[in-house]
Amino acid sequence: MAYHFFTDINGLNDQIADAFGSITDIIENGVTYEQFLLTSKHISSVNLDAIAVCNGQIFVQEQLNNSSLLNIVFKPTETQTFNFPKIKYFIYRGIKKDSLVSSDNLTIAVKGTNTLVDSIWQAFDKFNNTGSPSKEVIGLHSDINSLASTEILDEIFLKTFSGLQFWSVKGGDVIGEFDKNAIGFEITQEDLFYKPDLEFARKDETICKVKALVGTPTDVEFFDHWHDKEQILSFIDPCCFFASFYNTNLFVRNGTSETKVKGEVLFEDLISRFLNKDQCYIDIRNEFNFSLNYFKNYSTTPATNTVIIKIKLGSDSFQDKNYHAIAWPILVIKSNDFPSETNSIRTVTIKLPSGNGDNPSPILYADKAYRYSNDLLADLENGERFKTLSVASNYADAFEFVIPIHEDIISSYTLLKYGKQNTEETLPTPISTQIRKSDYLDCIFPLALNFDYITLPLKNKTYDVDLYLDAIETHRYEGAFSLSISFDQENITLLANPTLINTKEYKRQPISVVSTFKSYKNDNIIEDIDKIEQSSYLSKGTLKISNTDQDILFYETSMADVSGKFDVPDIRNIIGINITKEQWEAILLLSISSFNQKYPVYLAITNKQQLEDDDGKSYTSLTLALKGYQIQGSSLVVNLVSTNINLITYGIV
Amino acid sequence: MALFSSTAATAKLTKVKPRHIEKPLGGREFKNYTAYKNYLLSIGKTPRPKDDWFGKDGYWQRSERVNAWRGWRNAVYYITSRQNPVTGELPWLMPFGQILAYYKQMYVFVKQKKHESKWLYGAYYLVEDLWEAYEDDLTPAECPIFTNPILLQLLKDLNTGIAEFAITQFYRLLFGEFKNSPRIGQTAFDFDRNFIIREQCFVAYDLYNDVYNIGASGLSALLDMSSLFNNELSWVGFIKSVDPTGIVIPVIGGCYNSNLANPTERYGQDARTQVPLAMLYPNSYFADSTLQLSDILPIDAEYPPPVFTPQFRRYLRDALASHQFIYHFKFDSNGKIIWTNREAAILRIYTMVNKRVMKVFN
Repeated sequence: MAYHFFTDINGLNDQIADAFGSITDIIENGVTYEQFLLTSKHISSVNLDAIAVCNGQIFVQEQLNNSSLLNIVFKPTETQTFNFPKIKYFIYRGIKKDSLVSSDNLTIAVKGTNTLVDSIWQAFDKFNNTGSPSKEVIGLHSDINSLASTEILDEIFLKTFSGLQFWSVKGGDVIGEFDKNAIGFEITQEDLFYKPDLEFARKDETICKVKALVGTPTDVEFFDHWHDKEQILSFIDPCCFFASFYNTNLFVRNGTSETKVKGEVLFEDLISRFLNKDQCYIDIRNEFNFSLNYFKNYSTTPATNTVIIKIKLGSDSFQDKNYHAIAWPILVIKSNDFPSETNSIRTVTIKLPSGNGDNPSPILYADKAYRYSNDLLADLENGERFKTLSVASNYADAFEFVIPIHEDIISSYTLLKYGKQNTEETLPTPISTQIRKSDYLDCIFPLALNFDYITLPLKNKTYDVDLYLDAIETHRYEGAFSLSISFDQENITLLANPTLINTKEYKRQPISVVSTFKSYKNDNIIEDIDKIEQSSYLSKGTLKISNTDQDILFYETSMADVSGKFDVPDIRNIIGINITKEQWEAILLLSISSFNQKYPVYLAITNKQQLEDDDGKSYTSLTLALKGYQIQGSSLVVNLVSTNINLITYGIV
Repeated sequence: MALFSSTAATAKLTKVKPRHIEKPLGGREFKNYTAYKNYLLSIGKTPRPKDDWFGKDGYWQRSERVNAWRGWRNAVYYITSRQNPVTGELPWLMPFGQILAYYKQMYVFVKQKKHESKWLYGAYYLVEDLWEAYEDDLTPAECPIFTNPILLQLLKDLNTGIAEFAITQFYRLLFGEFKNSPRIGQTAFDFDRNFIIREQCFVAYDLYNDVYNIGASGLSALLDMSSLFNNELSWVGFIKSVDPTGIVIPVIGGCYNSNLANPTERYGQDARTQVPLAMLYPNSYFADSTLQLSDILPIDAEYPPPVFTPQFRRYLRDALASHQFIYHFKFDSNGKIIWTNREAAILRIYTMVNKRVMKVFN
């Protein structure tokens, strides 16, 4: 899939303000709010074409405060072909209404306005329609207008509205015209918790606004403050996104010509126009994909949420650096922080805190990072992306990666996941706000996976967010997993599907078991998995427990998984939970009555036992529970509540 | 796949096939690392570290074998590379499940070495039948074979004895004289023929002889599996599950001695040797090109021809012709195949043998 810069650069001014990042606090009604601008705003000397970054679908909304301007929610529809966290939406803000809608404010603009308009007319004419296509076709639809502003965009894209089509466009198509004084561009990534809504789609800009801490905040206020700041992690600075095409071609429109750029030319001709060109982001997540110190277990100064990491830039020696130096949960390094060097890359070496024993066996998973080899900058290869670390003096081993640089341009995005391998060491008592796994099966699935399966045609959904899971104890593997949820007529199935195994032996990628699609089928997903892999099957066996027969599901292996066939998916390493819909609904209700719904709630496990039935067949039994946050006075605590739902599986797992 | 399910949810999965869960087998297989470690310590050996075990010393965790994970592959490799277990140590493999899994994994290794030996084709599904029947806990009425202790022991001994011999043959393919010289075509056939002859004429013969010396009741029981094999004498009946007409067996060259209870016939040695070869090489093991099979097969009126669509007949005709099956069809004036009972029988044998093979190995 070819990628394109989001606008024509002919006339695009260099960005001198309103870049993605922290901005001035604001005071409203006597309350101070810290702010982080998530929109990259630009000005140009002329109105500029808005260009589709890649193939995708569009959904258009009028801006709330300016009805002459539109926003386009652009949803990529093809598999990303370069190594970057999965992009959910590109948001184009400040599109001139008359570039898509005619002056009657009812129909699509006239033919010849731009590629998008022409494609709509082409389809309209093909069916010999009379008149003009309605503006409803692109999302300016009365049914949409009547929806609550909290309606989630993900679900809107799945629903059907008569006359509305989420129009498909190709990368490089002109999809409107930016107002020269109101160009805004945002990028959101796949996220389990942050779900943009209609209100988000209608703003002229997106700002993460968080109530500032004053005086001595309570535990709840402190946690809440930093929880709210996590929102910025769902967004990507467009500067570093486009800079990520350093090794891959990016198409850039300049007036009537279009060129492919990469490497230093990309930096010189394009990235140099961004205000943030001289900064790179190092985004470090914990084992739950929250920011490094979301649980406050790595704090060196808890009261200020200071997390000191040791960082070595280029040839300098290690220095202490507060991960929250910019007061937001991401590390920003500027090009002038590096010592002066002549080559075109800069080395970054980091040592992360082990949390005073909370993480004695850390592992680092480089979701997005570069290495330098044979004078080439390249993404880390699969086998290199996992690094088991040991701990000394409360810090993990060093981890090194590189970022490209050209003059003072150093824009890049590095995403690291700091996980915990299973350990037999005695761990300190967890901090009151810390969710800690008791077992590799514990807290894999957040309840945020749930979606409106009743009204939506969608039955299966996968979240392409890699989470590290250490299942060596019983499954002999560890790796990065994605999560999915599937509903059928009777049951729901939660699946943790390995996307990358940390072993040299597995050269092929396991299957992406489910992907987001509209499914009208009523079969259970695990029965569907059964059909994917040849000669394997899901079966029901019987255990005899205290002389009583009990059915149990198990999966028999196929020849494909051992034959070294690389084109056959590997089902063996999937972890699944299968419960009835009634049980799931009961779990959701229990969560609402037991925990604060603003914070994450996870499916936990208790009472895990490895047993044998009367015939000596091994099986594993556990009870499902919920783990989440409860507010107790001014304190926030993590608590465990049992669902009393017992699960079993064959074998020792 | 670790699939946890609630009882209620399991009950709602109505399309899932019922199947037995294998009982623990023992031998060199352990439930978990602790069991393995304790056993090795008890025999004065040093267990491998937990994070470096993975079947590398010929002991493995049950879940490794059941799921065919790395540990099982390592164990199979280890076993084959050493051929014979050290005297006093546990035997390599227990019947029937471990041996079945061994054959399954060995198929992969053999194929990776580009050998075209087919021995595993036949061995695998024969052992699978035994394993399924054994695990299904059939009643004596359903299957007397497993409730007769002498017979059951014979079957187990045959299973392990043949497997132990087979390990030495696979050694030749993976580590021995053929490790860099794939057995293909005629050399594959020669390898399998020698394999089967030695397996049946020596290894199995000794075991049958042991049972015979204990008492003919065991072998008689082996013969009398009437309820399992459609009231036929067992060995012949077993083959009839492939060749329901019984046409092929008597006429394959050298297959005249088929009485498993008769020591003079070396317990049906000819049948035990010739039939597997015919099954594995149906298109090359029959009579040579100067002799048409149709000439030697008697007509059996009991089996009417199958009903096939015209398209399927054309497909089958072409498929059989492409294998140079030394058999030809007769056609009527309209170009339609004239099916005779012989043709139906041959076709059925061919498709059944290959379908069963295909089911397992694809």
